[in-house]
Amino acid sequence: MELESKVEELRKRGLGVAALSYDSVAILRDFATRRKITFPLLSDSESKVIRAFGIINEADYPPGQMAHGVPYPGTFVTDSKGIIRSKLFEKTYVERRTAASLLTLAGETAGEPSPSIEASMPTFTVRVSSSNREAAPGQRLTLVLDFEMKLAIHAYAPGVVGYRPLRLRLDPQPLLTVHETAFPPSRPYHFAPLHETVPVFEGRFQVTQDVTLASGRDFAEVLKTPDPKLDITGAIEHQVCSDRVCYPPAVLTVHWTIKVLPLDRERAPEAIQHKPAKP
Amino acid sequence: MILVILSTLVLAMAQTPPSTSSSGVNPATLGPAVGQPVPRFEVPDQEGRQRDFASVTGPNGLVLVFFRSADW
Repeated sequence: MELESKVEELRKRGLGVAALSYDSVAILRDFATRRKITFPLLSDSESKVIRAFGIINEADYPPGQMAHGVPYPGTFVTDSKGIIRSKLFEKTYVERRTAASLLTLAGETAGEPSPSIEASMPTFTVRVSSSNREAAPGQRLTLVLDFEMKLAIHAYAPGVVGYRPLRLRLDPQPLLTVHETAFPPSRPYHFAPLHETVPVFEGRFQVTQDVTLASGRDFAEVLKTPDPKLDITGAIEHQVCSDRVCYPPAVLTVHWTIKVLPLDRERAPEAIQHKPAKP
Repeated sequence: MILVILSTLVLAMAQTPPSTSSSGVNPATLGPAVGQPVPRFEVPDQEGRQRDFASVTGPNGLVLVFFRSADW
């Protein structure tokens, strides 16, 4: 579990970590030993807790199947009294947000982020990084753009009319699903000479872009190469202005290289495996 | 801080087109809502020790991950 490598950072922030599944204690013990997991793995072998949370996936895994009793995979974050503060559920099992991605979106530097690349322009700088320098097929990670606009310079936010809004455009890539770009809140900027008020970004701000790697099957060829990696390329479309000068729309190319990890297919020893349901 | 931003993230996700699983369930509506308490639980961990919320939470809260299986 990639989560294990982030547990210490979550603990430092005063958060406990636990992971629950419908596996037996024996399976979880074997898994914890094999994967050197130190946080509690909770065995809900009759899926009682999964039912109490209302997240049992009987639609995809009806009674009678070996997988009957599994939850929709997801994460709840609570306060110390157990009140849910946020929850995250992914679309399908294989699409799991990496723990590093969670931390990145929470404004934390997670583990070994990708080495960042910085582009300096006369009007702003942008640092390009990602939540993970390596990821497995099916994982969801976060690409990060940290902008710092020079004094009195602003970029236009999505929704602006008459100017080119800031946009991250990733080149189409069959091995990648691109999610919505997440922008920070913009600020209304009043430009007196034109009597217009437009949404802008100023100072330091962060734009994040989640992407999900395709399935292991789609990555089969890539994983056969000696150095499996995925190149993500794209461009930042932008237009920046000050209260005196307006620069023409421009494009800045960006790229990320993600090392692709093989999928973990190792199962628990046969004696303690989940058995197919008897007819 | 982490909670505030995670909440923002969930909101941001809610604004993207509704995502559904293969069975048509909207993951955003799964489980208790934000602001609700987690259901009580008491189950064994990998060492066989009984664990409830109080025994796994940290001083600032708990990240509780539901995953499919450690076996397959």
